[in-house]
Amino acid sequence: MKLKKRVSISDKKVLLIAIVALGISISLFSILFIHADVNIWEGYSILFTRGFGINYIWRTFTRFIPLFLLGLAFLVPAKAKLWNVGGFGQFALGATGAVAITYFLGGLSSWAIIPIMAIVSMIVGMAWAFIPAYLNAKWDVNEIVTTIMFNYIAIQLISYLTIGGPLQEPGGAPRTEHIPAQAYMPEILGTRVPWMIIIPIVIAIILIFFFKRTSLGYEIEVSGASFTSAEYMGVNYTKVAVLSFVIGGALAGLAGFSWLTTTVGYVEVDIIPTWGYMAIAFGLFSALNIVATAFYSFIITGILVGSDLIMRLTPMGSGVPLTLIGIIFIVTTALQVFRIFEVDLRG
Amino acid sequence: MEALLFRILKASILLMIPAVGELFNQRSGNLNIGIEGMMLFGVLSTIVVGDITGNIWLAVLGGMAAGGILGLLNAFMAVSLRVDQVASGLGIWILSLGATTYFGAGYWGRSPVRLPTFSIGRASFTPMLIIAPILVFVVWWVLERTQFGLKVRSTGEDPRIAEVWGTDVFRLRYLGMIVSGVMAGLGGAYLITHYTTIWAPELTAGRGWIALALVFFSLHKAKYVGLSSLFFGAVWILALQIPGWIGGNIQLIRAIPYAATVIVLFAFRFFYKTSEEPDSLGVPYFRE
Amino acid sequence: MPDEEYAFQMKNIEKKYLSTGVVANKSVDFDGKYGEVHSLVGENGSGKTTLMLVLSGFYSPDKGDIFIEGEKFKFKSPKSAIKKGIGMVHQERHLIPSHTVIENILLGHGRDRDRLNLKEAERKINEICNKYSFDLDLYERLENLSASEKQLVEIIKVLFHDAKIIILDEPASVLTPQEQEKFLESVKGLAEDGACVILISHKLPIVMNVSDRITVLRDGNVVNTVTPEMTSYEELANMMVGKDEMFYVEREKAKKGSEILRVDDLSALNDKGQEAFNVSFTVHENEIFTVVGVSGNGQRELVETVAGLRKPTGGKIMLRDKDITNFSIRDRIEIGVEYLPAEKILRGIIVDFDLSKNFAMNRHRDRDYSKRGIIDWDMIKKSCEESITDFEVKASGIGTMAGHLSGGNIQKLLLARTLTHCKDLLIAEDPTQGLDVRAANFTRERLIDFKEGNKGVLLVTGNLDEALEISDRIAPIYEGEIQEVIPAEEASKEKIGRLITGSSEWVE
Repeated sequence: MKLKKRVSISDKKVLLIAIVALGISISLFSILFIHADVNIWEGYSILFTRGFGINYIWRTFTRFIPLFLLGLAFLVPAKAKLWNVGGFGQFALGATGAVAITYFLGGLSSWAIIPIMAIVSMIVGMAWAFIPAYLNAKWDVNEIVTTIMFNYIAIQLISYLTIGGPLQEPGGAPRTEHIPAQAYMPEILGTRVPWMIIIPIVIAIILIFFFKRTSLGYEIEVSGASFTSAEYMGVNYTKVAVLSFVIGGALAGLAGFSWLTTTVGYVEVDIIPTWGYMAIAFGLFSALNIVATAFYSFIITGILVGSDLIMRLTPMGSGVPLTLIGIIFIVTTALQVFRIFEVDLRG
Repeated sequence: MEALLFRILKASILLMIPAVGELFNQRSGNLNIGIEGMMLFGVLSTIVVGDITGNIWLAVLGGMAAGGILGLLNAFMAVSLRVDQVASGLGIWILSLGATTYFGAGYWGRSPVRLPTFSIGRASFTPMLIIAPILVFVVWWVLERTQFGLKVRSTGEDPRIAEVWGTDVFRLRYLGMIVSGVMAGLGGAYLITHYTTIWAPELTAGRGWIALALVFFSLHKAKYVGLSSLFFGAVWILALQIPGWIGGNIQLIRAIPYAATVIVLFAFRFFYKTSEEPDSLGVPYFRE
Repeated sequence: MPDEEYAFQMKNIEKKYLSTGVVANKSVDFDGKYGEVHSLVGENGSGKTTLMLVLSGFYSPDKGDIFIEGEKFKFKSPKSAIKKGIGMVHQERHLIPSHTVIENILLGHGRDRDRLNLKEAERKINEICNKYSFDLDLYERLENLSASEKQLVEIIKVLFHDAKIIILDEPASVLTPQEQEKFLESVKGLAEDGACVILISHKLPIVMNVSDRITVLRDGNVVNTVTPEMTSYEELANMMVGKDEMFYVEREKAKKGSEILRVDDLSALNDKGQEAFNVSFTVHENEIFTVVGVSGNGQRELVETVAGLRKPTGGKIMLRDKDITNFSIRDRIEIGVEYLPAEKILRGIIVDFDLSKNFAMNRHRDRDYSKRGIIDWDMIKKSCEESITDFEVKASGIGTMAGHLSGGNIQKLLLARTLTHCKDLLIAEDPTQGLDVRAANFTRERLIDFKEGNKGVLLVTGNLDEALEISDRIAPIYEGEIQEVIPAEEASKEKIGRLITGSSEWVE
């Protein structure tokens, strides 16, 4: 097998690779169904109707919000070639911060409390991303390791706050109190989709504009594409690096806020989802293209939701969603070789 | 007091094994983000093989083999396909999380085989107590005292130059990833056959990630892995005790190893203006 | 002399670079004897490094044969050449910075399963060091050593591997003048001990001092092989650069305008921490001021310092009475200074971006193209289209990826971008390197057009013909110092050839 690095690749080809990867992965699900003695058609039908069917798609839209935001949280720093693996911790702390603020301002009305919570979550996310960002920009400390460490420190911090700590709910359960009723994100009338769905779409549009048309966005892209060219242009790399990382942190924090206010309503260590890690794949697989990331996030979210239902409606036990997602990731990762290289299978 | 010491030792051994495997791997230039997943699969395989054969040693081998296979998969993606190692490792981790929960459902709450133990005084030890330090020594010796190890280290720093001087970069990087997987699997086997002996989903509780931190904390030197494991193991265990002694909080104390890793990495760069991290860590190699 | 008595012989070697199509060696015969120092001399691009890369196993020749002690050999890799006793010390280090000296020397020695016998290695290395009075701490990390010490490590490594044919590629470039003397003693010592030493260098004082034979390469061909006794500096320099045969087009002497750039006692360090250059000169309106020299004499660092990429260690840079020494790159661009880099792909062009996106580099904050941080892509695209038509960049539309362009067109794109926008002073580094004749001439025409708009060009090149053809004043540089500033009418290839090879140090 001979590999030659591609100079560029047409969007069509990228799309093709993505579709083929999804196709292969989804077909592999059948093996799981067979192993569990579940009828293949039944399995796929639950997966797709519950994930994408008209009556159920609201759930996918709801989960799409935090997942897409997390995808963007990885994507923005990645444009500067920085790997933000800390989405998980920024997400969790963002949610925690949002809950915490309701302890003090819980009396405010929806119009006040929701934006305040959102802002707090973004600030917390930014703060949590700042240290790894600065350490990397100034001293070249490996940001993959530091952000992973910060994820774990975040868990410990939340553990402390919610188990025997200041945020614990009075009943003794290892979690925070529920957020007040008016803090939950209201839904679009008639559907069960939260209004918040607009936010990631607006943010995505802003980001597309940012990278396509602003000087700063341009500088970030140049820094990521070629460090030496950025140097040639006199770009202040530290500024650019920290900025992009911190934006990522803010987005992850906001994702935490959306998870909090559209689904669970409280924070407990054991229920924090691992989406932050999953969302990394969205950005990587879409070659940092924002629109592609949106589609990817949506499809994966749908499969997550659908497979969650498979767990409940069939004898298949827990672990199904992550297994399916894991299969998609490995197959898609492996197929990235076709995106990066021209592959000559004969050689 | 003794009991505490023994628990610390056990915790250290559990971390030492996957850490030293990953250290070898990282010296060759790879980053195995999937360690946690490989450990999980090691745990599950150990149970399954132990259940089928009833033989502890085959079970342990089963665990090692499971880790090795995942290591091979990661090697294929990282070295041959040259895809991003963070992505391939995460994929393996997520898949393992799901698959071990799913396939392991039938084994919840059970632990078929145990490691043999021998007693000294009131404490019972397993052969691992001796094997783990030996593994660390072997890795140190191979890396620092053989031509082979010199080539491994060179591959992690600058594979192009290593190749000029006759190194088979691909072979070494494959080996590194497989060794990391096998050691992670062995760690998982130890976990389920002695450390806790009761299987539950996500049993490893992030220890694979701690092992990854350990490698960085040890400044990528095999000779520090033993001490680092003791440190991390001690903090982990003592975190339960310290509140009783001087007052403090378990969870925050448990954050110390992670924070310490970040501080150590920063301090080294700040004071020495250099890093111990292999220069080509995580960078796929193409011969132009 | 019978074939077996030669350490090596190279016969009819031809080597073409596939990527550029340039024929680096055009049928070269070259040989070496044990116990001699045979120097290989030539300008940039004469083919000397390529020839030695063929001998040391890095390249296989397209045509021709290599004989080692009379036996024909085909080297498949550097390692097989090492096995045959050939060791090359390159211009860039082939060592690992974070490893110690002794580890670097031992890498690749023996079989994989061997123990690293440090004691044994120490003994052998110390023997070598004592013999040639090398002084090194074997357990020091390589990255902490000076540039000349690092080179020493590579030499020791080559000796440790029992090399009997030792090739040194421009070794003097990392040495201070004081270190050079000691180094030459060592080189003579190596030959006295029976090795065949091949020295690649353009520094004629060194070459005349230490060689038993000297072979001059020019444009991929051997000009002649001589001994120091039977030749002179003048003759060598002439052989290297060729005679003034072309009739240079009589250009109307442009009226030199007012001063644009003034450089006073400017100095800076190179990447290895040594002083790279110390110069003073001026560039005026309507003038092309050319710094010419063999690469490695400080030109690169000079250009980077004037462009703002390198911090000076002393001196001043004035642009029309403004002190811009500490100006940021952004500010320099704003005041009218632009840099056309030699390493186009590394610095100037991003292969993954399309043409218009590349065109925006350094323009993305210009008042013409952006308002308050928002880029006006329509303006940029328009300007880009005009420029690429003007400069004849062959591409199928401005949406093409830069990486799809041929090398020559990438250069033209860079030229287009820089010339279209440069308001005052252009710093052009090797602007025609790698271009075919038509493209090169086109570029030179454009540079002349540019300067005639009351602007100035600081040109840096290693191409003497080019310097003579388009310059108004020529400043040959050698070891970081401008030897003389010569008006174009008084310049000749012989004169420049002497100055860039260190004639100031010639002692006949």
